[in-house]
Amino acid sequence: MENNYKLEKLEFIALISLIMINKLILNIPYYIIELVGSGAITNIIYVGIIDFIITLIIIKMFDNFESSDILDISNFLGGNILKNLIGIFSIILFFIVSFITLVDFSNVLQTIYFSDFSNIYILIFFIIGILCVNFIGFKSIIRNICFIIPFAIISVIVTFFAVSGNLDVNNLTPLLGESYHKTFIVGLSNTFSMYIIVYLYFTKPLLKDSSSFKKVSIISYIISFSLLILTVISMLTLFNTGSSSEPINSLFLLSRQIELGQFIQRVDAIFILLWIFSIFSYLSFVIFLINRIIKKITNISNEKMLSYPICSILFGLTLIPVNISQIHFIENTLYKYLILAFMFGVGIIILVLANLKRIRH
Amino acid sequence: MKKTILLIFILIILLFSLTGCSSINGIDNYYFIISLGLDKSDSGLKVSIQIPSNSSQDSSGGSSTQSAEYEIFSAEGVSIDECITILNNYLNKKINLSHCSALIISEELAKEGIQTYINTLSNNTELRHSCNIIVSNGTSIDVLENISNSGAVFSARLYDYLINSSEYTGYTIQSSFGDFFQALENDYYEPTTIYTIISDNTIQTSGIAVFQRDKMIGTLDITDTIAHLITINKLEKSTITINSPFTENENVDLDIQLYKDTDISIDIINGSPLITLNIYPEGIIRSSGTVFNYTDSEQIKTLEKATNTYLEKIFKNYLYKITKEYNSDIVGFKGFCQSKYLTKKEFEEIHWENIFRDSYFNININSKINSSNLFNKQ
Repeated sequence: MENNYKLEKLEFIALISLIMINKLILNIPYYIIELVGSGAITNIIYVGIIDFIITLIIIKMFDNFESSDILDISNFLGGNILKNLIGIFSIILFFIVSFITLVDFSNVLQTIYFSDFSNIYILIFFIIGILCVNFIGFKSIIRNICFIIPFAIISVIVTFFAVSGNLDVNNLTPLLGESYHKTFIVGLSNTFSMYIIVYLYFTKPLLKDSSSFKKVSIISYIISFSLLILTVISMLTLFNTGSSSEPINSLFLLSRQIELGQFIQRVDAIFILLWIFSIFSYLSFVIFLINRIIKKITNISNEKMLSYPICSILFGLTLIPVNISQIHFIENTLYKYLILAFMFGVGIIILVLANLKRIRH
Repeated sequence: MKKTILLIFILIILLFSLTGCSSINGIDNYYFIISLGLDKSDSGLKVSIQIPSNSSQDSSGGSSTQSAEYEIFSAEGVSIDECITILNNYLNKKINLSHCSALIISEELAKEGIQTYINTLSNNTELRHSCNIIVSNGTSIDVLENISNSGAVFSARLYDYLINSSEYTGYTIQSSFGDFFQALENDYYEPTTIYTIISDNTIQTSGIAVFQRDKMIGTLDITDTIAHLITINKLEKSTITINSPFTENENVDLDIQLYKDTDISIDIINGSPLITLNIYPEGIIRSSGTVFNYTDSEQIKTLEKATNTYLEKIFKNYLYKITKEYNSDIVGFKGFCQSKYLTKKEFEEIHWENIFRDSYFNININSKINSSNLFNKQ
């Protein structure tokens, strides 16, 4: 299968929604609640609006560049040097994304189900899968995503409705959390939660009909935001500001509470299976994206073979023994601020300058 | 050539499917325990487990109580994990908590605080959050030994009769491990569990064990429990007996349920919380003594008034107990109060923890009485 496969509208929406779901699986909603407490709902709506405005600005600025991603635009703006710099920055970013996702999720899997086995087997399972699917091609990655996304969305919705019986509006109050400062100023860093925006910088050329980029991006944003807010509300029923515990995976903890009568219990087992597919599909896409960026900055003809070294490096990195506090630091500090820097800094500056250059010419 | 390589590859893969795994853990390697008991001991903690009886037990080490259907094993240590490891060693099979339906904690231990044990068990992926948590006035091992006297068939549902009775008696609550954990994690209401007593070699529910954070501080009797269930809108059905307002020395039995959810509102007046409860019970007459005319609206009104008076009395008693006596906000009044504030900072200025004990109440009972008897006049 060719890697120049172009996405249909629904496939694009599925892809962006899957990226969001992976962040929900990997504890993002908990970190939001941890930062702003019961003001999480207000904060999410607040940062959601800011992120939405940013998304609209980004989409608008992409209008002048047909079927281009941020690398093409960097090339237009600053030539090869800027393109290479942005490319390297993006590769580092996506390597950290895939590293964190893989280490974090394999750690969760090992803790929950495979405590008797070495983590290396879980890592190999993912790495071989990612390698195979990338070798087959982009179409297979997207087919995987399209297959898994309805189930993944259902799992989030089922979790929400299953715990809604315990939902107490009092748990969501005070609506503005600890203080105005914490909810609206400190909580600004939660803009990172809608990090799907980063992927919008790279996915326009993947779309078959690039004129529908605006429409599908907005739909994807709304779906992702809805999933995020549903998960945050669900989690507020379990953890509020008084909670001192930090779960390794809050969505898993929530899903453990689900009981559909006496008949269906332990739904978390099904959910974990879904999440394995979901993480696997997501990682496959991230590795595909890294391959694609390397292809663009090195001008090689076929990026498929890059999957071998990329997956080997990723596997090697995940074997480096890191403890929970180090993962926590990379996830909550390094990764978070890199994403924010790219979303609201580097990306927008390049787009603005490129648009100005285009207008002048 | 390609076909040969492919064939060899498939054959090698098939070869593995014909083998067994030496390190695999099947159900034969586990003891699926039905209940887990925690008691205080000289060493710190005594963990007791109840498992289906198995004739191939070792007889060395530990202690066991034999029964026709199950066996009880105990171990002492400083933590749950240590005790379970000792039991694992003694039983030569690994203990598995995935079918554990009840966690029994002795009152003595509960009064010292159980956060450590709850934390340990919440980290155990085998234990279901639906596992019931029960506090007993005696030791947990007594509960495990006497539970069979209930007549229930030995299974994972052995303890269900204790929990399910709350649905038709209202004399206790349903308390799962998940609910308890959630209450501990939340800062606006306190945990509660089923409270059981050992009486005549049987286990009986007897209201609610009230906690303040992880420490048990007292109990609520059955009338308080009915009031509690009405307050938190969890009352399915209960029967109350009130003095007949028509004939002296006679009683009226009413099946009580809620026709509308209880309204709770809290106002801070002169630095003290005024808790207003609007309660909407519906009473269905079960028996009404010797003379009663259900078609007479005046008589119905009189009975409604008597019901209101009775319920007001038990509510006052219940609310005074949880505020003045225990100072434990098991309803979550704090949540109702803080919902009136925009930020936690503003709410903290009223110092809820200090003023909760000074709460006073405004209880409005709006009973409705109906009859389900076969005769309208008797």
